Amino acid sequence: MTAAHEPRRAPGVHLSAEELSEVAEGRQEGAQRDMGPAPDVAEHLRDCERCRDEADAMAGLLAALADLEQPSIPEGVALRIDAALAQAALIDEPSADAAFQDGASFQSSAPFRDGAPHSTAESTSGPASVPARSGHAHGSRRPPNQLPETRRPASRGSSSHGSASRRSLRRVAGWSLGLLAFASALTGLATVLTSQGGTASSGSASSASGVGRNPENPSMQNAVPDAGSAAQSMLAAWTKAVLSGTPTAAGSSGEHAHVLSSPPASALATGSVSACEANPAFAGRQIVGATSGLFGATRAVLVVYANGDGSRSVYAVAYAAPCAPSDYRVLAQGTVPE
Amino acid sequence: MRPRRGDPRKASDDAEDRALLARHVAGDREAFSELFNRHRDRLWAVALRTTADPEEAADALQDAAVSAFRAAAGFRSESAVGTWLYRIVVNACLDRVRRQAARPTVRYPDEQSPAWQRAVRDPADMAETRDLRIVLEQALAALPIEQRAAVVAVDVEGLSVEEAAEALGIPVGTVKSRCARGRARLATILADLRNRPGAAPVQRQTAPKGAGDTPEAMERGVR
Repeated sequence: MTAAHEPRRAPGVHLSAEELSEVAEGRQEGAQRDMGPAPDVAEHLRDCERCRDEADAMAGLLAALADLEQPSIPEGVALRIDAALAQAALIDEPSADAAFQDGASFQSSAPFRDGAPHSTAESTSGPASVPARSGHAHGSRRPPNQLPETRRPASRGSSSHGSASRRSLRRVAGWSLGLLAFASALTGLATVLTSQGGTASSGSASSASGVGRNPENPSMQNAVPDAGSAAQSMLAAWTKAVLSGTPTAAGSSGEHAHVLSSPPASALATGSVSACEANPAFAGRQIVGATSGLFGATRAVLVVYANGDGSRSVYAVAYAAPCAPSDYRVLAQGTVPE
Repeated sequence: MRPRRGDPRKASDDAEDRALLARHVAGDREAFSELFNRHRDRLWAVALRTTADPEEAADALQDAAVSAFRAAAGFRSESAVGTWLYRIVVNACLDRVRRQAARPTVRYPDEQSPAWQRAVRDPADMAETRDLRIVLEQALAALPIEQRAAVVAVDVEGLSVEEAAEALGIPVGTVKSRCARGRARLATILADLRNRPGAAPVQRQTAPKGAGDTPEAMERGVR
């Protein structure tokens, strides 16, 4: 708002976008304003038809925006979220700050951005395969090397389910108001919802962000009840091995031999490590070590960040390899003592 | 702040939200789903409009739900639970949109779309019509992501500027300026519609083959 004591508006100077916004806000129903526009703004509005028209248009715009309908969440999306939450409940407890067996404290929450979790590194939860509620979560997980562009909706499911499909389609139609330009995306999404409608658990568990299931690894599935600590142990062991300079040796010895091993030389592109190091979620963090290998049966890259301030611990992140600029899938992360 | 449909920030609602969150932190495995379900339609609307892409919105909302599930112990009591959830969702959306920025995208608004064409041809009939909402949503999707997030928060969702600043993690002044610029851009788009000459009679458009697959056609089928 232009303060009353500011210099008088020069002739011919129209209202700024901010001033027009202020004027329009003041006209909205329920606006809590004790004062009208600043005197120079009010004076200008009296004299300038153009600015009056623009203020009128802005007020109409605000009213129209406030009247936009609130779409209901599509059934398929709701089911996906239910399954993801059920899976998260199986993998770890809400306050996952407790120390774990071999001395590393594990943080399953993503890095915080001013108090809110940053989702970039949070899109995956753990390496274990955890069935969703009905227990048949063997959907089509996106292979690690498949880029996001290829995980279009049609690939997420393949079945159709009669009336459930039609219900999903109608739901898509319902919330599609205003998304006319998204025809292709919506058509694809309708396919997803159609396929998910009747296979809630399998479809919903097939998170696009990859809730680290590993259907190819029976041992990991067997570890479901303690999946979180298994991942934590693997992460801590791998991190310590990297910091000691003997990642391969650490991976091939002791109890973690079955989960840590050196991949074939050609298994990972040389750029895999640097691609994961580029995760903007950790921009500015000093990297003290990085390597590639297998995390469970999943090709992975481990990046170890300094915790700073002379801390005796580091922060380790195991990514599913390869990382893509648009897709960092975290298998496990947490603080590990040096 | 003007009242909103089903305003989730009533004190009693927030008290219930807090109780559910506390149960979740205490180990009640159903509590968080119950909490999230209380907000999910609104959060879906936020995700859909912020990402302007239903698939990204679905992914972002799922990411956010899991993030919030795990971050519940860190919830700061000075925030409303709804605002906290909003912030997590919008952060997830912004992450996805920014990461998607390098990908080729469809240009919005789609001036070839039937709704746009009809609106241009008959602007006088736009007010309070479905077409206005459609075009408005398209124009909203065309805004730069930062402006869009601010406009969605303040003008569509009805957050106060202070709440929006908290939810978006930016200063109050930045929210105001982004809203002002976003509104100006939207107003320009809509004014262009009104001022286009030749408000020719609306011609009935022949439905092209496959038109029944379009969102508009789908919408007609259910409303």
